[in-house]
Amino acid sequence: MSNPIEMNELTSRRGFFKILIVLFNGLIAAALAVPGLGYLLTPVFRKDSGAWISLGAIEKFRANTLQKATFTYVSEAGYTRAEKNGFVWLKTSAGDSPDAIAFSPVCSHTGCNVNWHASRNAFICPCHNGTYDADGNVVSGPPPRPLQKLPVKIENDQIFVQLVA
Amino acid sequence: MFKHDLQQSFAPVTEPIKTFLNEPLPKGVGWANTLGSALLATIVIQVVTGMLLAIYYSPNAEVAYESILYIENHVLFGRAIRGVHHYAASAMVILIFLHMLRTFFWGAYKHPREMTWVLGVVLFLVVLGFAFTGYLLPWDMKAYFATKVGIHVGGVMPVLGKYIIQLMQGGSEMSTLTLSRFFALHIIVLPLVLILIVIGHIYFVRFHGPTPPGKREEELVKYSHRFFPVQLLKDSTVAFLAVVILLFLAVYYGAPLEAKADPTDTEYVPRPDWYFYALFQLLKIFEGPLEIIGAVIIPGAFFTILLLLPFIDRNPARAFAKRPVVLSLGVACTIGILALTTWGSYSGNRAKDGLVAGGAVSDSAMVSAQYDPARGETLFVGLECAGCHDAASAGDNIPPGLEFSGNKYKLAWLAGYLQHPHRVRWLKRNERPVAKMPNFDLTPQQAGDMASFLLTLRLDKKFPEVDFDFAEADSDMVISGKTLFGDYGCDGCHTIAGQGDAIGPELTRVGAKLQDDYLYHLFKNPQSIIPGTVMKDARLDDIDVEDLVAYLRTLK
Repeated sequence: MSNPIEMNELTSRRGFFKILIVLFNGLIAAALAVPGLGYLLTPVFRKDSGAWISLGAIEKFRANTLQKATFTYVSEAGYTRAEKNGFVWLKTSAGDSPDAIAFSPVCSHTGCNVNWHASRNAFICPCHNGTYDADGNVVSGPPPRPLQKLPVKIENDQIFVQLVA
Repeated sequence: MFKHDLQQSFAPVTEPIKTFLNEPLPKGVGWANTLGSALLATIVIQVVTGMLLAIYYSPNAEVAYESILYIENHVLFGRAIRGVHHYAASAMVILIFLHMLRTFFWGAYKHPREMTWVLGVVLFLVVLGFAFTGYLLPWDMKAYFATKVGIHVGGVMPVLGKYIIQLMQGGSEMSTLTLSRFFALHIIVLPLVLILIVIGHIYFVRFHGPTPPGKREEELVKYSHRFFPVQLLKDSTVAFLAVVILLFLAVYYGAPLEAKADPTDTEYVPRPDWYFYALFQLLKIFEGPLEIIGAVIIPGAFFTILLLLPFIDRNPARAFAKRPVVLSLGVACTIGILALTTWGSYSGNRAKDGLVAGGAVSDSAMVSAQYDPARGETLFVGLECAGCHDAASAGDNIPPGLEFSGNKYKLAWLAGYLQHPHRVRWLKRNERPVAKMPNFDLTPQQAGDMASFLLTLRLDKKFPEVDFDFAEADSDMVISGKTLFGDYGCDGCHTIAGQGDAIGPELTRVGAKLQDDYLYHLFKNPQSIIPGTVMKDARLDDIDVEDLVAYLRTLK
């Protein structure tokens, strides 16, 4: 009995009003949601340019030995700039063409800072005993990936490292 | 079968919604009743945009302003979202005012809806609280000085005044502590109160139902339609229009932002946002010992009467003809508020006059406190100004670096120069202009925006604040300075009003162009300010320098 009328809901006055109500409120929601999402997602689309950070002169470091290279850098976050301290695990090689490898100290498991234990020839993470060899490869424990190798360059006997590739 | 089961499961949610949508409405309820739901829509908008703004904002006087600039210039849609939040605040005040007027004239506050009205008046006060705590947050000039005036109003109270001020400021002066407590009120305390009151208000509205227009409570009410769909469509239409207008204002005009708060400024005349003009004007009408009348007594009495209105006016009639006294008083009050608001909007433009006085280009509409450094920065980047104004290469015949513009120039001069570079900088009157800077055909607003942006570039270490307020220099100092100007042979290089040689810059209007402290540091150590300058370091003592600056600053 009522079916033919319901079929025409779109063209009925009541049905038309219903559509307008949904349309208007949907547009209001979209007007808030679209810019709001863009606003929230801004950091996702932002690319951090990796600045080269100086670790100092190459002769400061003992060759062929893994050691902690600390540095101070200016970290820019939005509208703030702050001097921050940081470090990488560094191994230099002397010779006619000096070279260097730098490992990020961040464990690939949960992000704690790993320590170099020269006696055991391994990086060991204090949090869950994740262990890496001198090349940063996982030996044992929970880490899923090797330690990250950071880009390094040597200019005029100064070592530079890039924290964000 | 399954569908049916689910319907039953969700009945506790769907049934009340059905009842809500099917509420019967008395004859006469229509467009005028959409104001409340439009207000609700603006509240939702404020909650959403406010949450978004809080993500990047920092309630710390050191960086609050910088965080606003960041939102405006570096966050996707940041400018639009801040704009919507700004204009929706105004919309809330307008809608709540209209909503109250409608309720008043329809007699909808009368028994049994007293509590709906009382909650509504409290809501109005909460909205004003939002407005007051909100405009401090950008920590620009208006924020700082208008809030100072607002806090001063709290201090007018006898006996308690100074404690109220300390409480509002969170200390003996306006600082980060003031900002963080205003922020906490604005984003935590007031929103909670607001949401509770809104829920209560709507509950009471729904419980008693809409007031039948023109009818006494005991009269038989004729219900003509239901909330869904016609009234809901009307509500949605008005809310939608409100959002369209807000978006237009936000995208097209953007929210204003003045220069960063400078507590030492002596020229800035604070003006609150328009919805406080009436209160602002009352403050100006009652001066001196009468101040308390305008600051406390009149507003206090007004809001007390407003709050108690349903208990004072116990006449049950709702028809206009049967409520002549109350309606006349209501009309009088409305006209009074509108008149005070209009009056307040016209007076107090001394701010503009004061800034323009003696400015290099005083003919145009330069000047306003409404300049927006954020827009200026966008313009600065867009016109690639830094391509020529490179701090590293500044020197002879190379455009000056701008890294300490904020320590050097005065706003009105800079805005005038940016608008008409060639009109301002002449070698000699009526000779070919020497400004190499192209004329970018900026509008007065753009020039002002850019100037206000340049004034945010400061090197306060190089230009420490001079421990002398040149505004208080007396005529003896000025005369002494003028004599020294001749004694030291300054006119051997500088022209003032056609007198002297034109080797160095003309100084005829130097007081309009350069800040007092900049002149002071220039005298003390010309080489460090302008490397390579031929200006002699005359090794002047502090007193001579102060006299010279006192003299030069009068040249406008």
